[in-house]
Amino acid sequence: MKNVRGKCWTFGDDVSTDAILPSKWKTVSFEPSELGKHAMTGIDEKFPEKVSNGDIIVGGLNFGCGSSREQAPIALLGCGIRVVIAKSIARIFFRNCVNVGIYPIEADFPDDFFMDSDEIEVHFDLGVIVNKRTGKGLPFKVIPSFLSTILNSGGLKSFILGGGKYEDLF
Amino acid sequence: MVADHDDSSIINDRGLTFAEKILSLKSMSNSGPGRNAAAAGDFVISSVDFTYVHDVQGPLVIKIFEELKGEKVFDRNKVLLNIDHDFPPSSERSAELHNRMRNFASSQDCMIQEGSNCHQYILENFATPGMLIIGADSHTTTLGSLGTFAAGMGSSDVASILLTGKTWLRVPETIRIHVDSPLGPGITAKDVALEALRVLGTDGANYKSIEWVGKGVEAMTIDSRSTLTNLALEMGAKNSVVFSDGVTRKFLRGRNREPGMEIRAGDESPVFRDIYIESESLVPMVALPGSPGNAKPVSEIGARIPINAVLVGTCTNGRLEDLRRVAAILKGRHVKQGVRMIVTPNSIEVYKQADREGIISTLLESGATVTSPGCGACAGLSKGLIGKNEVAVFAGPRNFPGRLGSVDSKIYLSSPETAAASAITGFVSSIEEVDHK
Repeated sequence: MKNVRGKCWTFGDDVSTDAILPSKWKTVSFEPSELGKHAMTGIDEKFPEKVSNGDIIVGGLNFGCGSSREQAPIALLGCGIRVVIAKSIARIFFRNCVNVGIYPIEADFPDDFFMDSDEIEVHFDLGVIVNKRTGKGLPFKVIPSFLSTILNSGGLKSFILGGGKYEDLF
Repeated sequence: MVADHDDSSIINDRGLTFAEKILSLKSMSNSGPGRNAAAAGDFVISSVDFTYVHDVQGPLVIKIFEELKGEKVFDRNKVLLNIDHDFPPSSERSAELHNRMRNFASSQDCMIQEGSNCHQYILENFATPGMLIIGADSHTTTLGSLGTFAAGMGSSDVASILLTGKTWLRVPETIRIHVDSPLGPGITAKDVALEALRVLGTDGANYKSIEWVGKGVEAMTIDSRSTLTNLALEMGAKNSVVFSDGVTRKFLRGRNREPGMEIRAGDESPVFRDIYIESESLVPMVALPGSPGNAKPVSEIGARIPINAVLVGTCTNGRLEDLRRVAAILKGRHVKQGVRMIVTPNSIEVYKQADREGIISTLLESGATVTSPGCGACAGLSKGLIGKNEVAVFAGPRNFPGRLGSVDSKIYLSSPETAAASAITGFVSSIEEVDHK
């Protein structure tokens, strides 16, 4: 996984998939570009206008809880999100992120570590996030290598289409 | 299913949890240090005994399956397409998505069901103890009430299961929730689960397996147990189980189903955490708006909260036992003027039996509306959504902002009893406030 740099958008605890992609949009389309127009609108109506390609989502505890709808991470992907950082990430959302090609990062950080629009760098090789505004670093636990293999393929579909098999992962 | 010798040694192992036992039996390879049994923390590749999709995730699963160049599903007898989230369709789009599911089921010659909630339909017809079930819905955990290992996943994971019949799993650590004595009058499994949510919060069981144990659980019906295993998901759990016992066997016998493979945790198995619910002194509980973790006794809300709507149903509280309790409270009473009460039986079977027992007419006489069966407004698409600034009492699974419609509404999560009592008074109320009038 290549290191990335992007602007972050911060959210609180228990951001559910109903907030990430409200129910009324969950079946209108399955295309990232369409779903991306409604990303995070359950919590911030203006988010799709504000976000730019390569930005990073920062959540609190239990990010992505609730419904298993994969349309939620697809919506984030559709507005250019490639990395989600949170204090904890709900289990199904975590898997869905990997499967659609978003890197999920869990880390312990104080509430004021990230602020909206901070430029941050994620060093996957070192397992460290650096906030360019404050200069502070934050260690995180890198995901198991077999999940990196799926992510580096571009997600589960690309992994399988590329001939990947679960049996080869570990 | 007869266990072979190795299987028996795993099933009888005193040091393994339920999740460790069943995932050991279902795994074809694991990341652990070459032991016979998989331990918490290991990653395993497991065979899947049953998988299903509904009309929100299903069309996406089908799309991914086709993009994966899938031709035939791994086993047509182990796959169910289930239309429940927006049935009958409330929009042309839903009608079109339903047709994609029908076409897929027809071309694959696999099962399709229209009307009943997926989890309830599988409880009624397919799940047996010892199965590993993966559904494309978060509340798949519900099926653990019949002694299965059941977990929810997203569309890509389930599409790959349709292709291969396999998936990867991390063997979860276990949280054991003890309910050691039967519940008091008017207290239900929903109150037990809300109390557990108060203790654990919404992520206290993230990635974990929850085992519900004790005399209080053993005394519960399959309906009540299903409310516990359903709500474990709201605590973050990967799966949740009530071990198969006499109640389970009787339920299955009554439906001409096999007893399956009974697996229970070893009595010396280590757990991540034990939680003890003081079931004798438990009182009616409610989760305040915003999160199922905001649970507290109804009596501690303080102010009187006027309400606009009451909803009872879903995979959490739309079973026969729930409807019976609601009808018993509403019989001879009337829903408060200005409050709309919407009841959604969660399956066709539940609806038919409720009709035979006179429950449907009791509800209608009291002024409630009964919708067609399925997921109801919880799917956020139809059947009783709530608008801006409205307040609802909801006997369902979760109350995150926007769950039932407007993000500017407020949802109080409660038992069916508390919901029915609130419908009568027009305020968030426990049953005591109705009985004392």
